[in-house]
Amino acid sequence: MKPPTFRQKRRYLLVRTLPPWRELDSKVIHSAVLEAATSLWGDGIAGVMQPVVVCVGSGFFIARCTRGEDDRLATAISTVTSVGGRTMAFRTIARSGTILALRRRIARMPLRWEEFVLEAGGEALMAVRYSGEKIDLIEEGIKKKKLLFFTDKESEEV
Amino acid sequence: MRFTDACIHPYPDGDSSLRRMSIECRELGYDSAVALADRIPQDIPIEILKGHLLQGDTMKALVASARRVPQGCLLMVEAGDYALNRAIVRMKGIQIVRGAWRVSPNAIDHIVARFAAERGIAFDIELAPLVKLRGISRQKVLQRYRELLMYSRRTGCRLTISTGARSILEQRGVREATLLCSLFGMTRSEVLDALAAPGEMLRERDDVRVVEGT
Repeated sequence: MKPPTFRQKRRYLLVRTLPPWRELDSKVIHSAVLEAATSLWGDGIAGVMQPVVVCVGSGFFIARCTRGEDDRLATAISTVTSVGGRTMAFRTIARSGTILALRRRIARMPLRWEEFVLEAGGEALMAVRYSGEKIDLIEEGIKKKKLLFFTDKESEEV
Repeated sequence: MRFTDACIHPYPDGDSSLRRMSIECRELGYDSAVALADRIPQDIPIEILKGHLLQGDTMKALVASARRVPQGCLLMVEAGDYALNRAIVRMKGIQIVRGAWRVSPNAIDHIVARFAAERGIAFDIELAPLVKLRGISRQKVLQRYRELLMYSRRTGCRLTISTGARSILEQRGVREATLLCSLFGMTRSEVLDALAAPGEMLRERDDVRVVEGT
């Protein structure tokens, strides 16, 4: 390990994943972030940025980059539209020089959800409720699943 | 300053309901959004402005489409070729010209921009192509937006920023909009002005009253 004066300064980004209930592997997230960074900024800047996914939880992950490159990494992260072939969105919600500060922030995040079956028009749909009123409906198609994003009120109408 | 997402497409155009999209908008730092929706439900957490996109490739079709516009809507139109754009910016009631990234490089020039500036018409900067496209296609979009920014700085024509989202997964926040717009050289204050533009446009329109002479 390098002595402190030789170590490179880092910045950490706390990123929320949407939909939060979807299980993600750190390798898949890392390759999505790296692809977005390389595509947007090119190999040269992506190399200087050194984007790494440090830890992955349910509904969030922490990414790391060199200090001064966090704006570029946040921009690249905002251009991720699919992860492992599934449509997703990443939203940077906090940045810090230490992971500890971000872990404190994670403790305040609402990261609980419940799965249930919703009866709609004689059909049973899988649904996930989180953040109070948000409801994601999972429609099973012949070839693939389709997601619909509603709230409590609209799901009653469905 | 009130920040407005200048265009969202809720269900059934997209996969997310208007109420859900408005909750996301609030979490992302917006105070209001322009929705291309027929019906706006009650008890929405942010202010929703009703938008109407005129359909048609020719001026004749656009004029015909403009006759059926409901009252109080923010009127938008898709940019087309140069001749159409020159006609659009002279058309009565148009407030936002969208899709500037799709048109050819010469379809919008300083003359079109000057007309737009005189009539208070804004050009929309849609974030969706910056997010979704990759490679040369994205570079072309950045080029168009850089040109629009130059025209805006020189002629004073307004810019608006929209996510063009059809899903909550396509919505981007105020901070992300600032970062994405910095890709083509837009400063933070310019981004904030552009985000505030739709609200100002509606307020200005409502302020104007025709007073009949005695």
